[in-house]
Amino acid sequence: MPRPCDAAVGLALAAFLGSLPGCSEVQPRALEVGRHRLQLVVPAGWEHLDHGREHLFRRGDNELSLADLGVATQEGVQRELRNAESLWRSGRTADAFARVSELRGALLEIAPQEQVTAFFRPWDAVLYDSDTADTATIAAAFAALMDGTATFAELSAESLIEPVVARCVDMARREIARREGRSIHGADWIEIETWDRVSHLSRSRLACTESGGNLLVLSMERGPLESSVAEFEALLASIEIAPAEAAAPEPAPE
Amino acid sequence: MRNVSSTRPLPHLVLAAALASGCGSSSEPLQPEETFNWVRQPITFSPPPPVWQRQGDNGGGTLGVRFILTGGGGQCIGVAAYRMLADRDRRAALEDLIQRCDSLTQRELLRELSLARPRREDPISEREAAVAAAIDAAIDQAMGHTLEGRRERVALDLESALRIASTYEPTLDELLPRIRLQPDRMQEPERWRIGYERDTTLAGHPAFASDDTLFTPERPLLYREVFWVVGGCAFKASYQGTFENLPAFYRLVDSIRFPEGDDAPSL
Repeated sequence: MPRPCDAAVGLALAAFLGSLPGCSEVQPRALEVGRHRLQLVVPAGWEHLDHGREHLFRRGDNELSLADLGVATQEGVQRELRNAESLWRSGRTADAFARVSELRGALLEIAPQEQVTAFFRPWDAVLYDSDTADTATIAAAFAALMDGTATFAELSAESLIEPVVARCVDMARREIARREGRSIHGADWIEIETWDRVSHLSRSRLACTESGGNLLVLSMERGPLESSVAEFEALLASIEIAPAEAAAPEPAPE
Repeated sequence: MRNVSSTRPLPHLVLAAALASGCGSSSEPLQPEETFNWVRQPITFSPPPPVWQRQGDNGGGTLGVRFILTGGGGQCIGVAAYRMLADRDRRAALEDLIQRCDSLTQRELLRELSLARPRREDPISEREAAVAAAIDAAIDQAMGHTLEGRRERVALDLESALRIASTYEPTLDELLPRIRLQPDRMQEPERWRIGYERDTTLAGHPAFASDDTLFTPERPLLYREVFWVVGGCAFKASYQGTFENLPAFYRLVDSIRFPEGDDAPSL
């Protein structure tokens, strides 16, 4: 049982520490990283740059990147297609076509090229004749794309690594030194450490997870591991992804 | 020629025991074991303590790491694989091509077939020359079938080439004349003096070890080399330095393993 004077001292101490810069409670920052809505704590003293799909965190020569690497599941592809179709139906044809042409991500990157070509074939026919394509033709092409998503094999958590590593790591020069699964605020992350293939120097880390059909990747972009590993780990541990239902909604038609 | 062929205890074990106490960096523990995949055959060892600064080493046909003693005046330990010799083994290239040949266009396949050919110049041995000629002949056939559009025959030709390639792996005896220290091949032959050379067994494999001397402008240094050929891949561990730091080298050598199959770490 704490004595009254102990409690008073504790309160005073807490008030004093709270008033100090750097001792006050750090507030998580709400961000949108591509399709992901999340909260994180920016490491103290680090600059934060919001580039939409990619957020950069910098201090001196060190740079961390948090990026949305695109669709990673059938659900993600279908959501993008539904959004594109919705744009088209609201009269924003150019935006809708751009949305389909920008459709990319792990699910498409890991699939055989012939399968991706076959998937886009109905849409290519529309693009070929885009000035004269009628509503029925475009609607049919959207329907064909939606059906086509079922042809892609869903990626397991482990197989997500392949496209992430292909995108983020120069595997001709580097190799995976270690990888492990982690659960952070309910999200299943895979953390990977890479190093130089020859010398095992120049260690670097990245972590990835799939949420709401899209891939989210935190990676060390620049700087030695030793000088940013603590911030990398702290940033990763602080990331709290909003549930898929609350993911960024499609902007209303203009 | 090698001076001695013996199974007697290695002099370095005696040395290591004699120098194990009170030798600065030599008595510090080695770092955790690491596996390096420089060539088809992996090699595992424990790097020396951090006072030996690590550098990648990619030159002279080898791929490896060098550990340079901080403030040691050029003392270093090296471990490397002979990458250019390993590239003469076409098994990996053929296996890769067999996997991908169905998805390649005719033009791509012809190019890949050219790249899969073995090197014919300066053969390691008569056996290697014969195997290389047979692989070449199988690839000639594959090219002919590619031009005829008979892909099913191309796959068979490549399987045949792979079978032939799998019949040969160079041995230590075959490779040693190319990789051992020969002063007359060095830029300044007078700096090297060959000492005690011997056949031995280290890391569970036949090895060739030599204890030589390197005369640097500042002082003479011990120059030690150990060579292995495992799974057709040649490796070298080397040391140039003083007598006091020699145990660090031999402790590293004692930690060397050549994992195979399930033993190799998979990431």
